[in-house]
Amino acid sequence: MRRYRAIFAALLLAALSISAARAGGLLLARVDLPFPEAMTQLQDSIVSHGYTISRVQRVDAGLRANGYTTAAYEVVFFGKPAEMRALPALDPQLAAYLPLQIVIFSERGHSLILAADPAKIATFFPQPALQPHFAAWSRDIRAIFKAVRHSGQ
Amino acid sequence: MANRRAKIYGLLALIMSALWPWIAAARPAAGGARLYDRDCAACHGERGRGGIGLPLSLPSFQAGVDNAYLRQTIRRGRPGRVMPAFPQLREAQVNMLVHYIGRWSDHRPVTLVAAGIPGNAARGAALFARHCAACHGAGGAGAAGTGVTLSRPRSQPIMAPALDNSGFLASASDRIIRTALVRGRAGTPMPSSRQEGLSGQDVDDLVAYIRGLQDQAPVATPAPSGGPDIVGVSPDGVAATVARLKEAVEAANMRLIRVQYLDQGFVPAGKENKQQVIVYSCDFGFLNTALQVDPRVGLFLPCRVTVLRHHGKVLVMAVNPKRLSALFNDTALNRLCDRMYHRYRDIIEEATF
Repeated sequence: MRRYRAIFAALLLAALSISAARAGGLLLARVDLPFPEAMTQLQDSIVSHGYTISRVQRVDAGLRANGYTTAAYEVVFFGKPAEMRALPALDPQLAAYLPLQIVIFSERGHSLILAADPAKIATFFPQPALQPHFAAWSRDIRAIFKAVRHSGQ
Repeated sequence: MANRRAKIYGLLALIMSALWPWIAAARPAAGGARLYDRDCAACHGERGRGGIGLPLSLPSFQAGVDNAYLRQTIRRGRPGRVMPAFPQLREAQVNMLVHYIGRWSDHRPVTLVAAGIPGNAARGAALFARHCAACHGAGGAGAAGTGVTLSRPRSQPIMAPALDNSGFLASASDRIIRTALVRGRAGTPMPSSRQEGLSGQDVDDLVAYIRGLQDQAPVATPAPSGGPDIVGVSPDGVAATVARLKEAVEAANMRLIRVQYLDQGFVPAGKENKQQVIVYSCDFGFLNTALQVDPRVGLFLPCRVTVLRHHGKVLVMAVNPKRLSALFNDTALNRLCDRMYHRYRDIIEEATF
């Protein structure tokens, strides 16, 4: 009986996830928070999903230092230590796509967060051993985006 | 008994999985809001307040388009511009979105007949050059950039759209174009024909000219192909290759930002894999231009080249911008990615020569 209940639950979850699927290669979300708060929420969410943030690149600071005008614009690099060590050995060309990154920039009083969908990048790297990683990254980044968006509501 | 319950659960599971899309689609308002939130709000703003994309709640916009235009726009997008097509949405979902967007306005749904409007396209071309091209670009190519440029101060609420875009022309009937010309778009820089001193015949001639643009509409740059990376093989060790790479970066007029190990920040300091190095650099002038073209370009930032020893070979690699640009649906960005591809290739060749 438990088995049937589990199958029922799995089918229901699958149906729900299909209806929530999003097409396209980019994940983009608007956050109803000013940039500093949105950035804090983003970093908290990345960490709470089990990732390590290795660096934040302040693109805006570089532009301003070179005489250009810009709103807040930063790139957050993150990943999992074990994957950072192991995956380049499976396919060295993947190293150019690591660490993972999420772009965050301000627009008026809002913030936008953006990432390339790893599920799309997966099509560049057909090796079967890599696919579970791309699937997990795609799922996690969607969850991170969802958490950050909800924090602004 | 247990067997009977198992059959019931199995049957329920099958029915639920088969009916779920229709159950979800049966809640127009909630479903429309959810779809808008998922697929549109990032660009068009919460409740259509605008952003990268047009402010869909703008009363003058709502009063000038019909549901058919919205449906077609959702389906077709704007090839080569930021607005993607949504062919994967079911008809019911598109209708929910259109219904939801329409609720932001007090205007009743507009019905604009699709019949063509006769006019003199040659005369319309001259009128277009005089009255429209300053904002909509020569030949209706649209203002540069991707709607509002997010990383810059706003000078206007929207960017003048590309009228020669195949997605626009396939979505907008002659009546919709005529309505926009006659009424203008209050709340945007778009004036009415009366404000421009245009007669009814002038407007019809302009419509004929704009409709004729579909025969000259630029084809969106096809999705670039090629491998995921630009790769070179160095004859030297990792340290010597990194040294040559730094020289190559500077020779290419790129500012060297930093050099770090691939796993730096993930492992304790001193424990990094010294055979995997990333060299970060930037051409800030090029970056500034790229951000004006498409503020999403941050996914390429900063420029980086990775040096890595694999099976005894020292590989020098960068992401292939031409491959990544396929994610963006932006012809203008494709051109920049093409330039960036050649720059990366030259740097890698220089470093591995």
